[in-house]
Amino acid sequence: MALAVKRDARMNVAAYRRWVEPRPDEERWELLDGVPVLMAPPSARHQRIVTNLIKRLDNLAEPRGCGAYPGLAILSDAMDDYAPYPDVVVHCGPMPPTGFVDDPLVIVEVLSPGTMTNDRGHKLAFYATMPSLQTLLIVYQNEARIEVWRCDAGWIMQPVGADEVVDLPELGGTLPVAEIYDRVTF
Amino acid sequence: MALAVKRDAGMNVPAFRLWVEGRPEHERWELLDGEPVLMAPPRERHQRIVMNLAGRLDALAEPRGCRAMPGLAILSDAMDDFAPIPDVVVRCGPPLPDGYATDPLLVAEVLSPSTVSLDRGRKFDFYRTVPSLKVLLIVYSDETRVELWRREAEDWSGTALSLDGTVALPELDGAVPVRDIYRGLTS
Repeated sequence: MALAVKRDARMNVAAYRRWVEPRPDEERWELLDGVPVLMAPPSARHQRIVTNLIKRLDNLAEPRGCGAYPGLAILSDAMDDYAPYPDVVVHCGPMPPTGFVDDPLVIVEVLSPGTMTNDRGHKLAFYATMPSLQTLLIVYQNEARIEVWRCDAGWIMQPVGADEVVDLPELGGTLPVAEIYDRVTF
Repeated sequence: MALAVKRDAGMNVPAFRLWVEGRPEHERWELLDGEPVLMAPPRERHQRIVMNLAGRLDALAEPRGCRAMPGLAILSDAMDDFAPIPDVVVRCGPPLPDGYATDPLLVAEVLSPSTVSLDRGRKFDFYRTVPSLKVLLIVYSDETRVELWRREAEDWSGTALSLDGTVALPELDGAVPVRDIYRGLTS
């Protein structure tokens, strides 16, 4: 469990970007609550779900001049001590020049057991500060469950189950839950 | 969504207890991440679930010299800027001189739509630092879903239960059927 223990050692985004620059390429660090946190290697199951999501989301996004990406970091003007890497980001307009974006349209987090309290708590509150964000999806790994958090619903959670479909009006399409869990068995 | 915005104004538990002493009796305040947060009056549906759960848990706890109660604040030695008030606490041992418990066996949070990310995030991280705590229940109020989180060695593992499931509580030699937690509610 990642706990932000040392309050006084808190880093802001500018300090974090200087600090993370010389780290080895294969290391992925998120800045959470002012603390750099090393991301653990994900499971194959996690990556299967991410791949399914990206295929479907990118198909919906492309005709609208948008794209679905893994591994982009999110920055918000409202909170200077967060730079999380969601599993999938949908971004519109020209391709971002760096790996940092501050105008995501859709964000998806696939839950891992070890990051559950961060992904369902702190990070979510951070994402909700972004004016461009329309939809946040929390995708469970060990059950067919997707939580839909929408800006136009006041960021109130709506759970979607196995036989249902997630509506994505901002992309003019839907995400069938069965497709997200394709080739995943419980 | 409650955000702790003012980092530098952080209050610790002693300062909070002094401060809260002066508040009117009917106000319920939690200390979350160094900030006092006023608890909103809960919905009837939420309270119905709390009563169902507290009743079941108390019936299991009493023969073991333990009890289930609403409204106690929880303190942890590991984090001095939190004093949350979970919906139900099970604790054993002699009665407390005040409303602050450091030795809960079980804590249950019944989710409200506006507190979901706080209850499953920061509060959850806090409860995990309380050494006596063995079981954490997260009870959804807008769907029939209970997450049973249990301390196992150094880590916590969670199981999601639906209407036909049962919350097994070996530490109280018993179990609570999920159906009983939602008794009287049709969704």
